Amino acid sequence: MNMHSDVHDHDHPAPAAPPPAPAKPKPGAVVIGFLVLLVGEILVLSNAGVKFPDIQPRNIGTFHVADTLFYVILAVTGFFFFVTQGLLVYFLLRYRARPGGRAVHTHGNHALELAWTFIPGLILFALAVFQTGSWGSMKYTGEFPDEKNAVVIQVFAKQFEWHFRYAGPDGVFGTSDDVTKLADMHIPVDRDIIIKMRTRDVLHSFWLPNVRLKQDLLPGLTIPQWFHVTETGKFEIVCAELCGIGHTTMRAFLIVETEAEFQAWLKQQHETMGDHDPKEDAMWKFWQEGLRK
Amino acid sequence: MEILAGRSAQVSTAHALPGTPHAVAHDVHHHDEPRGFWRKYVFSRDHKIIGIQFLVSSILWALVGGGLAMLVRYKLAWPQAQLPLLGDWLFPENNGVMDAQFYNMAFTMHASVMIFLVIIPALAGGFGNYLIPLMIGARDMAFPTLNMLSYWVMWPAFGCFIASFLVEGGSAATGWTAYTPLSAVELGWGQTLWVIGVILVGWSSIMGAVNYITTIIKLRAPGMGLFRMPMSVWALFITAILQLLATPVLGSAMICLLAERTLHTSFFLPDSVVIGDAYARHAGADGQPLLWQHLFWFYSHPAVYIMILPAMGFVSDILPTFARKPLFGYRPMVYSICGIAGLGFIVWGHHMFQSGMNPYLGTAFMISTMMIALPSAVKVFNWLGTLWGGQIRFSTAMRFACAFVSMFIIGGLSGVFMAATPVDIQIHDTYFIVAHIHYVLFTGSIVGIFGGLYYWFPKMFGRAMDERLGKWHFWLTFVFMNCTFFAMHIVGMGGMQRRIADPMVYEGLHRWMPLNRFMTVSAFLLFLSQILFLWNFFKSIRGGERVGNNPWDANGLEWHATSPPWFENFQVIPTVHRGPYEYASPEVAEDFLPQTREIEKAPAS
Repeated sequence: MNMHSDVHDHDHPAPAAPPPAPAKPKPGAVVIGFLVLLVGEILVLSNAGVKFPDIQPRNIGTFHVADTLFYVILAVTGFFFFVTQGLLVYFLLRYRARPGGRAVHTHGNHALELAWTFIPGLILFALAVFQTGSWGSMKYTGEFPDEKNAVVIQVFAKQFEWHFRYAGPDGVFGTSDDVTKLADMHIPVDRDIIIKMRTRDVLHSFWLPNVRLKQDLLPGLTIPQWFHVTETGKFEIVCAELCGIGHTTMRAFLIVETEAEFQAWLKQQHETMGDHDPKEDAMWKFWQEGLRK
Repeated sequence: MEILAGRSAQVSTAHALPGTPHAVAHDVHHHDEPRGFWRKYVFSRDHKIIGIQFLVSSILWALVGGGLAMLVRYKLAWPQAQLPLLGDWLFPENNGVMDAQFYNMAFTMHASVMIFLVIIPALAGGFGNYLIPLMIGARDMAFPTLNMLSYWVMWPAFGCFIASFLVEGGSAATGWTAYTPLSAVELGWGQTLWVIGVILVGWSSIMGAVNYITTIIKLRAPGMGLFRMPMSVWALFITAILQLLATPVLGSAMICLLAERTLHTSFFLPDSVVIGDAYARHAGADGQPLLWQHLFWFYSHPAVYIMILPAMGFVSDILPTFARKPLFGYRPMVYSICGIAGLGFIVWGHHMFQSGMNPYLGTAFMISTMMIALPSAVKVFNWLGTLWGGQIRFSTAMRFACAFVSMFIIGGLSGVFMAATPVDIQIHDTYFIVAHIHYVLFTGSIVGIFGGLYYWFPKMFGRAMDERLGKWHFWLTFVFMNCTFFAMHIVGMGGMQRRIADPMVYEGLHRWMPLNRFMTVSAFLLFLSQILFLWNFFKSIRGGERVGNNPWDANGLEWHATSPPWFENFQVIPTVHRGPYEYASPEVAEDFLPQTREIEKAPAS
């Protein structure tokens, strides 16, 4: 309430009574605390063979912007981390009580308040604007690739399994040549993939740690996502939303193959399953149950 | 009736002040002070006793919550090992190895106990009750009987939580967020008792909030303008408003969930949900699973601020006292609390970026969330400004307050990652989030609570806690909490999802097992370090050093009262002449200038 008393800052009268003796200061204790922490964790990490840039799972997809933004934010917050922690430690060491000392009597500084409101404000706003486009490109359905040129897969979740369904040779879902697969999601490399996801029971979350894709599934809704992978191999699919007692084991694999391998796999699956009435297909029944409404 | 009587006595003494108030005050004292043990210490209407009751039950529940955390950490470090001591007794059919259902229950109840029975009751119930009347110069709360009720409603809630552990199937196991449909369809009484318990805690919160708001608006001592109130009172005031506005929403949602579980309504379940082989609801049911998340987070996001704002208030009081320097930017500090509270109501959607909510909404919530970092940044800079140019005396309370500032910076900055929607896609539901919430709630709120306890303990009991033990407690806590929680950022970035019972199931997580064990050992040591605190706290109540009414040379009205304050706090309601942060004032020779001290107009120098 006394912002006006800034005028007293420099011309307070000399204190008559010395303040009581201060507690014994421990210079550098904060620094030691942080060092213990830092050394401890670096030791553990290096024992486990993990180096800094490898901390995140390898990104095999095209959503690199998520990683870029991560490191931009790490740089910005890292800067403010060191500035503020540095000032804190410096002030604690520099301004410990001294016999006969007296603190500066000030209630604040208007210019400083404006500076540390508007500068972080602008930085935060810039970060916010910077990312809107990339979020849209990953999540807005209007920005999804064209379904005609993409591989469309139905993803179906139940406690505690992932099922995947492909349209088969005719490219149409709900016909006798549909292919369904439990726990392995085969996709071709370098193609746009569109998945349409549905859950039969509780919430699940479809997470591809190596693609930077995560999306919750909601009963009663079909939720589409898209992604694009540029590397072949076998990667984990994780359920990231607590879904009950078997949540931990609700895992599947993403198997990325070349286009030829993928088509061969599809053909072979189709032959194994043969032509069948889609209404008898357990997966199709689940899918329809999701549409009971 | 008693409520009214208490209040009119308050008003009459306040008015009688300039004359001879002593007789009046004395009179009130003799009429009201309860004599018997039960009326004085158990079913007490005295805000100080109620505050201490809240604090002590929070400390005891913290042991339960902490113990559950140890079970969680043990499972994550050695997922297939037999649980020592308890294993054979709890899991005889599983060779003493903790099963997934028990693990789900352990982390659910760890969070529920810590949030609903420890942090919120300690901050709002404990410190709010104890400090508000003392700091604004009132004799008691506006509604003392309601106040007593707000504590005793906690006991049925305690009963529900305890009973939930004992019923068949165990306690709630669907996460403290209790997302539907899982929480609606899980069998067993555990989840139902959890719901009832949380409703009761919410009821207690609402009664407390009404009381705090009324007390602060109506019962301030003469001269105590709103902008002369200490930051703790401001923070508790804004917190109470948040509680009053948000808790009814949680209560309503919980009642809907209770109906969902017991009456098979369909607020949250559509008709297509199949559990086992049967439909969970009749055809035509059109509940919305997302409705739960919206209602839950509409409360629980403000609740995050309910759990941190009071601690910020304590820190804003402790730093000036020990830096012997006025709080830097008092009004910006007040406005930033108001800003956090206001923005806190329009950011709940950032918990739901990946929930299936319309992604356009995600963009809107991302921008409001980015902006809420701003008032927090203003607070950090002002705390640093308070330390600048000070004469810093170190005490345990001051160490915890400085640690709060340092740790809150980490918790605040890690929030920026999650606010960024494209980054959140990857780190949502991973240990990065777990790290963030623990940096806010443990190294923030709990550290703030420790600071507050060491600081106001002499006021509560007339004796100080042991500083040497306090110093050990501080350093062990500081080191081990960072070892425990900082590493969580790393495994979270590394792709470890939260709420899994066995990281070894995932090949990508094998490389994090050494770090998981490091965190677990640190967590055990962190837990053990709290023995120093417990010993110090309970021993010092009777055996601590007597330190007088104002051991820290502080300015606030609470230090004007005796230690411990007598039944109605003040012999005479004090008159307030200035704000609470006049340290190193040029007007007096001492380096502090209490709010109550009257100075004759000095001749112009």
